[in-house]
Amino acid sequence: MNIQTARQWIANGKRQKALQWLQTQSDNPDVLLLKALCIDEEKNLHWHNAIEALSQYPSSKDLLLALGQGIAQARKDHDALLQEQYLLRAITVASDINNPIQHIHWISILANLHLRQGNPEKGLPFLKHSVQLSIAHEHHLVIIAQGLILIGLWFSKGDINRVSALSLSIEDAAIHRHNWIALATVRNTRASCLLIREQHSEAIQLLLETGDFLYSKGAVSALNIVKARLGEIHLLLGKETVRTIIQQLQNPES
Amino acid sequence: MPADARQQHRSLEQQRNKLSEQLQEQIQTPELYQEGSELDNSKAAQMQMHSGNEAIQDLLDQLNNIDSALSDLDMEGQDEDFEEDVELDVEHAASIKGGTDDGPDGDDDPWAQEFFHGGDGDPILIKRRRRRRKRITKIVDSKESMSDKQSTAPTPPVLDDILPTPQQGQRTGDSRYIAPELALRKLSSLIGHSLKPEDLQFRQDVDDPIRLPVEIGKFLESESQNELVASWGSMLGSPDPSLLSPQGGFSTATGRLASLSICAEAMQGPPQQVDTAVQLSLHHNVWEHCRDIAKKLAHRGELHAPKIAQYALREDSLPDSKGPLPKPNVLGGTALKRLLPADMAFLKPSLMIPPEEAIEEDDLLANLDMVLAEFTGGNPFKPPSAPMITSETIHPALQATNQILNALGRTQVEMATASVAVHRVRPTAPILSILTHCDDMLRSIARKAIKAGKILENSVDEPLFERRSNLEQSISEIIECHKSLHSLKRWALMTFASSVQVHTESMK
Repeated sequence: MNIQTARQWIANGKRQKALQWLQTQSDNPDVLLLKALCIDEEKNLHWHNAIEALSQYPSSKDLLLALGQGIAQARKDHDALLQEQYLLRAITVASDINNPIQHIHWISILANLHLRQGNPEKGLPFLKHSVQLSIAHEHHLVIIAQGLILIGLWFSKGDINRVSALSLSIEDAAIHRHNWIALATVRNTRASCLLIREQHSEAIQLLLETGDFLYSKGAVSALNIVKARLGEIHLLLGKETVRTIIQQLQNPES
Repeated sequence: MPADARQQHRSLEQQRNKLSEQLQEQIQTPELYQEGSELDNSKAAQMQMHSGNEAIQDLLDQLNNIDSALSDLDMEGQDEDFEEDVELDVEHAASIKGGTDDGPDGDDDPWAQEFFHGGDGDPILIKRRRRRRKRITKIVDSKESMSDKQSTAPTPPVLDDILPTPQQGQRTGDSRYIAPELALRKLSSLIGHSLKPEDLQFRQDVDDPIRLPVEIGKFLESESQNELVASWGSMLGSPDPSLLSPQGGFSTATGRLASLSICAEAMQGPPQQVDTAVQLSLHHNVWEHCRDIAKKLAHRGELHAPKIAQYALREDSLPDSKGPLPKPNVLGGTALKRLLPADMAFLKPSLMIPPEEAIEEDDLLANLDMVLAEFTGGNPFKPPSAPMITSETIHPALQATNQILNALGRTQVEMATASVAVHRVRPTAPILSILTHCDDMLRSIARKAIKAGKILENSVDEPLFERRSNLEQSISEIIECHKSLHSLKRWALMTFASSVQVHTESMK
């Protein structure tokens, strides 16, 4: 009987059996980690003990697992301060053990935590970092999700050039994942940037091209998002202006 | 209409005309920025107000306020005329009946009033209300309905000639997550609405493009074990301002919310499990609907799940499948559980046995007790009487039995609720076999609980020592019933959720 057997029992759902054996053992990082997995009461305390014990050794998968559970527990307990502390440590550990996906995830979560706390200035560097890393590692899901949040922030600050540039990366990720709603959204975003730059015709052309693409995919809801933006531009520029632009786009010679 | 009201009317009309002109001007010249000049971020930020819908929205809001003020004024005028007619009617009716409209004590009773003013063939319509009020009625039917949106948005232009709507294409990749798209099907609900927090708070129904992602976010935040999913869920659950920035308009904001919902779902797991669970979690009002039907059916002694579901869905028969039951969907089960009220309380059954009489061990005190007993007319040599079972003894156990029986009745309604939610998501899902199985199991548990309860009841006035093992056996059976009920519910909810993926034979 050893710690591996206890791990096996836990993996097979025999938590009580594992706990009985663990309680006969003296505390060490492995035992504390498995105990935290088995005990349902005062989970925050048990995860804290496991994290502290595992932190005495070089970064490991077990420490990252314990930190992940500690973060989840802190979220459930609404302890944002502890959540932030664990998140910072999880980011370091994920980087140490060279796990880029986990690294991106924990950075994204920390960025979002700061935003949720109404602290965009603190969240922005992490948000940017999460998007940069996800682009570098082609983590398309995070590019779309975190990218759209970042676009919203930049847009509200008037950072049109960055919005436009990031939209292109998100477009690429959206096409990879067949996320047509995201594609429609970022094309709308880019069209809005063109509109701000007084490039009305280009904005409408981009929306029409996107509309044609989404039509070919039979993506009805995504097409509605593009059509809705086109409708808003109708209201913004006037029906006649838009109609003239569309006619010019359709018959460039006339 | 009195003179001051006419003056107010004129002033409001003037304001309306002025605002209409401003609106027209805004539409024609949305950009303050001159073409050809350098565009920096600060200028762009200033211009965004005008490139989004904010400026137009403000004007439209003001126009709407004036319109409603004008219509109120008109209404008041009409009401005054109307009121005079009503007064005449009342007086007329009163004179016919030889009294005033002050009825007798039973005035609140509609039948009494009808009797007082005339019979069935003599309808007299008496309007008592002094002021007609504009009433907003929320109709909650069996399906979640699109409520009256605070529709300050302008009439959307016809766009189908520019971009026609295609047939839904084959869904691949992330486009298989359908739930976030449920509120994106109606074009008019996506164009030019307000993104102001004070307007957004009124968006309540799940087919609303703002409310739907909020509900999806809340569900994923609370139920997901994946921290990134929970994080995105929290961003959606009470939407972060970054997702609702007005630049890009209402349409783009709804797109951002829907896209993030899709990402959260995709990170959580495969669509056949996650998207199903998310869709099921959106049917909030099904419980109330089924409970109301159950109340009616209970009077007729028909309180069982298949019947409730049949009535709730207004179907003559429910879809069924002859194949094996599907593999349970855990997240889907959680989603269905969220539609139901909290579990009923269950007190652990026990017997209330009075403590045994203590035997006096001190000889002197024992002798004194004997003397006292003799003086008070008792037999000092009689051994203490054997304890008997009283109604108090079995009261806690009987109470637990009743709780089980009540819970069984409610579980019938809960199973019907789950099946109705499943049917709403996929009308072809084979719900009948699961409902029938649940009904059979619930009846079997009920029989077991009643049998245990009867053993308890019949033991009253019997010696405790003789029946104790029987009573304890009954108590353990009641506990077993509770456990069975709990397991059945858990299994049924997860199985209902997975039945969404199964097509009935007729559909194949």
